[in-house]
Amino acid sequence: MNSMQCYSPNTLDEYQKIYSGIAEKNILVFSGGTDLMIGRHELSQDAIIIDISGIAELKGVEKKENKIFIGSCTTLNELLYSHKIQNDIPILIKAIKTMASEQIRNRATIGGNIGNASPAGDTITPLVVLEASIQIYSPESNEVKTIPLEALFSGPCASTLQNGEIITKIIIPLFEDKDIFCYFRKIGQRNAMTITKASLSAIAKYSDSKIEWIKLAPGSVSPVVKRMSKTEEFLQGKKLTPAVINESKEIIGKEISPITDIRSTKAFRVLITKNLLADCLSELINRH
Amino acid sequence: MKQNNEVRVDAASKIAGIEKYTRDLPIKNALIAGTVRSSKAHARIESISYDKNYDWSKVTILSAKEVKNNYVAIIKNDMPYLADKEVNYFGEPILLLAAENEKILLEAKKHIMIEYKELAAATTLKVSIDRNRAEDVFEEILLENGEGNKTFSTAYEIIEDIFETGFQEHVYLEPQAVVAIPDGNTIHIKGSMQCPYYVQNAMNELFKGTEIKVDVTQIMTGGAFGGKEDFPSLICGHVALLARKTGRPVILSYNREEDIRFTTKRHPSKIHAKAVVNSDGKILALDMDILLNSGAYATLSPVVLARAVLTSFGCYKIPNVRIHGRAIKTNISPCGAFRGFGGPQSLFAIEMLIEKVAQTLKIPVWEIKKANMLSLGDTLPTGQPIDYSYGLPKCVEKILESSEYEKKYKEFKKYNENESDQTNILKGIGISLAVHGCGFTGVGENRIKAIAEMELLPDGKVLVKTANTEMGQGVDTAYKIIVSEKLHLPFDDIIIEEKNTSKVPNSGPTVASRSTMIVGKLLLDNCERILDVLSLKDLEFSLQDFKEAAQQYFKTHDTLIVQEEYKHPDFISFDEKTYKGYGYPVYSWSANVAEVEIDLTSYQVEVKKFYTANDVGKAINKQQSEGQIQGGIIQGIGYAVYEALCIKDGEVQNRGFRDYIIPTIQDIPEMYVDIVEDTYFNGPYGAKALGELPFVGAAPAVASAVSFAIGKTATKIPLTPEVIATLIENSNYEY
Ligand SMILES: Cc1cc2nc3c(=O)[nH]c(=O)nc-3n(C[C@H](O)[C@H](O)[C@H](O)COP(=O)(O)OP(=O)(O)OC[C@H]3O[C@@H](n4cnc5c(N)ncnc54)[C@H](O)[C@@H]3O)c2cc1C
Repeated sequence: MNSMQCYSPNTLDEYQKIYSGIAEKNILVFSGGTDLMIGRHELSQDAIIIDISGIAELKGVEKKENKIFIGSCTTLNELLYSHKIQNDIPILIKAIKTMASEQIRNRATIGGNIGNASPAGDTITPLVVLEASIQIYSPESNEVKTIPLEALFSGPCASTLQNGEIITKIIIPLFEDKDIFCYFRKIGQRNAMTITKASLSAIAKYSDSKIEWIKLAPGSVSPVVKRMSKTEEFLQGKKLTPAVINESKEIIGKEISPITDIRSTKAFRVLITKNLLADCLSELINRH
Repeated sequence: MKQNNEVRVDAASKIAGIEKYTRDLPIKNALIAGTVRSSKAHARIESISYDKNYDWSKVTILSAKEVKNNYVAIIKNDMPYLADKEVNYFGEPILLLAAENEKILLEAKKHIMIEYKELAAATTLKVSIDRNRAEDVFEEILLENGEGNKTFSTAYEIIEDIFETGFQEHVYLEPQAVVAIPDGNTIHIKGSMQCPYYVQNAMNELFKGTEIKVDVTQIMTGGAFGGKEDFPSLICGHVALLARKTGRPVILSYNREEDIRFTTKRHPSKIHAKAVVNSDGKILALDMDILLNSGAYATLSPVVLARAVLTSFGCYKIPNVRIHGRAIKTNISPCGAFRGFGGPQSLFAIEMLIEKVAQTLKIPVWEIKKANMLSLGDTLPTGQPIDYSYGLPKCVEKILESSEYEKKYKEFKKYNENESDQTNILKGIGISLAVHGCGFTGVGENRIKAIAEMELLPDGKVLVKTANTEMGQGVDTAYKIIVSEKLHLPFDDIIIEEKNTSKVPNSGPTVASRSTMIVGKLLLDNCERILDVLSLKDLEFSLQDFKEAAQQYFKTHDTLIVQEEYKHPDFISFDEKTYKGYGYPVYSWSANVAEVEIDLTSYQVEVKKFYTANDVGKAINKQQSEGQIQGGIIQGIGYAVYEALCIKDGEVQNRGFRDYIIPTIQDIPEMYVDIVEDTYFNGPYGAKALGELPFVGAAPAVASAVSFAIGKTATKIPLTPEVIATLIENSNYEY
């Protein structure tokens, strides 16, 4: 009924050519389509769809020089069943396991989850604590640049990408140290197929009963996903006594800025983010 | 009757994906219909204007001005097909459009401007109650028995609270869809619906005084749960009007968003309940004020309220009662029929009131329930004796055993005292007793005078003619079993006639869990008549004997059509003024145990196990009965824990499955289903109502388990994490 124009390039080069040929530049980058199809009724009828999921350069996982490179069009299930990721970035696996369903994960891509730029995107918080960066390809300049992932987000579901720019790779630095604690937990409305009300990703180094360092990124509780630097600083070097845990809960409660929407209330999101931190810290203690 | 475990006759075609639903009908030359709706909760329509620069030649517009009998015939006839001067809820239809495709409709809608003068709106029950206007009361019922509330002054202890239940969306798989096909002076209506004769009746009223004739055909319906009982009358009117105006077939199908936002929901309730109890927890008197939030028009609210009132004393013997019920108008989408039909609301209140009694008196809740439970021969507050088909005691026995309730009750108490601090989990076990009045309230059946027909065909097959619709609940299969059992015919020789009002008699709507019990019995009686004519009655006979007898018969006759009309047994009477007498001809009963865990990080309630025993008189199809029971429990768990409709200034905020949360397979507990068969003398092979029963008892069992876990009475559902946090942390985390 609705006629839409659609292209399916197989290489970045083809992508560039197609893009150059579209005068109005009213394109819509389509990867797995699992976010886009949900909102299909609201899509502009004039947009020209470019399905990038067939671009070979954008697929697969590679390990090079203590870094993992993930092609943006790699599906969530490809990541879930990738041994490299399983062993090297367990926190990402924990997150992906909580996402959607088997069928959706077969289509949904990591680049789409990031490109959608939702503060509830479940791969984003683990990648932020891992201090991942992303490669961005611009069809206008035909160049690739690398930026920290956190710099991509400009607001809820808004990114700094422009003029046909696409994410090509996600780059994750690996730790030399294998004894790193990692935590991911998501709270939704039910056990599966659920959008995050609040979540927490954390990685930490714990030794001599103290937190050497900790990196924290909660999901769905601020306009964009970001690190909790005040809470991290407070916890650094501390023994996890009940008093410290309580104080850290108060700090993170103030550091986030959740809203009330159809999925939950502001007050509840503050409460469960505090609980998630307590849960994370008690897991950290129990591990050691 | 032998035990039947039949695969549904509609299963194969549905699994293969070849079943034809309304959207699959090949309709030539059809127009697509769309609805222009109110964007105000309550307002006067000042003007409607159409952009002069838009090309209107491709769009048909229909307004209230063109609708002569502009009311949907339901009970009170207060709801218009299209709002004329005033809109009473956000989303109320104002104009209908028809065009070649949806794209034109979407575009055309942008070029219509409606100006309103806003009027004071009551978008919540509270506002409507507070303004206290007689015209906001759609229906009021008072049922008193014994000393009424006089016992309260001399009483031992009065225990009371306010209990609230939320909206619920039906979430049938197939959204609303209907078509109208003009054919000379006749309009053929086809669609996804429960009650073709309700639609027929509404269309007869709509076209009263014109030459238009209408017939109505139900197309295979992908779920309904009450959502396709009253609502289709409205949209069938819409397509019929457009078909008449354009002379072309018209299709109206809602997408999920439109369906969730603008179709009927379960009535939310607010019930102030008080019990007078002695120190053993024996209930001496019950006082209840039941408020149902009806939405903008009455639809079926009066009868929903009637069932709420008649279910309010649950399964208990209470000598003195005063039950006062009101159905209240608010400026939101009208609420309508939904599985349980008022029962779930008041049963929640009585079950949770008893929870409160138990917590106040520090007596285990099961002790209180046991002490007050009806015994065979007891009388309800309506004066109706419970002296037949009372399988509740057996249900109780079954679930206490299967769930090991009493043992776990102690174990879970210990767990919460000793281990919760470590695990961050609270455990709960809850118990509910539930009742569902079978079929229509009071003497409703005598008013409907359901007729079912059967025809013996020359090849010895039979044609079954009822208006009772298959919507996934298995009625076609149940009818085949009932007939096959009696006539010894294989299923292939029993043909279910299309549910078309020009082909089948009015056997009443497919609602109130009545199709098997009432209409199934008529079919059984029809079978007897056929056997009588074939001189096989009371004889042992084989399939071959039957076929031969049929052959013999057709040697000398052309047709054999038999008909039966339903009437209650004479002793069943009901006074609609005092609400005394037989509220229902018989009741179905259930006992339920739920086990839950509450996670103290997330405040999520997870139902881990559910044990249920249901007295359905006779399970005509065992596996289908179990399926219905499991489905009812899951829907009840959704009602109790997950399903929250969010309304802001009268506007439903939910848009679909991403924000209207129902349980998925990952949220479903282990279920243990028992069926008890305490037969009903007037049902086919003893069968009574089953469809709604399992839903009714589920939410109270879950809420009872939650009350156990948190040590406080859960006074409202849904028990979303925000509500649980509020209960546990004593601070408000809700909206
Ligand atoms: C039923 C269901 C359940 C879901 N559950 C979850 C869940 O649990 N957690 C969760 O986080 N999400 C969930 N989602 C959302 C969605 O599946 C994920 O966000 C997914 O990763 C999106 O990937 P995609 O390839 O399908 O993206 P698409 O829909 O193709 O694109 C999403 C957005 O990203 C842009 N985009 C895509 N690829 C790129 C790229 N390479 N560079 C730049 N921009 C790009 C697109 O233009 C679009 O704006 C769910 C969705 C559904 C339908």
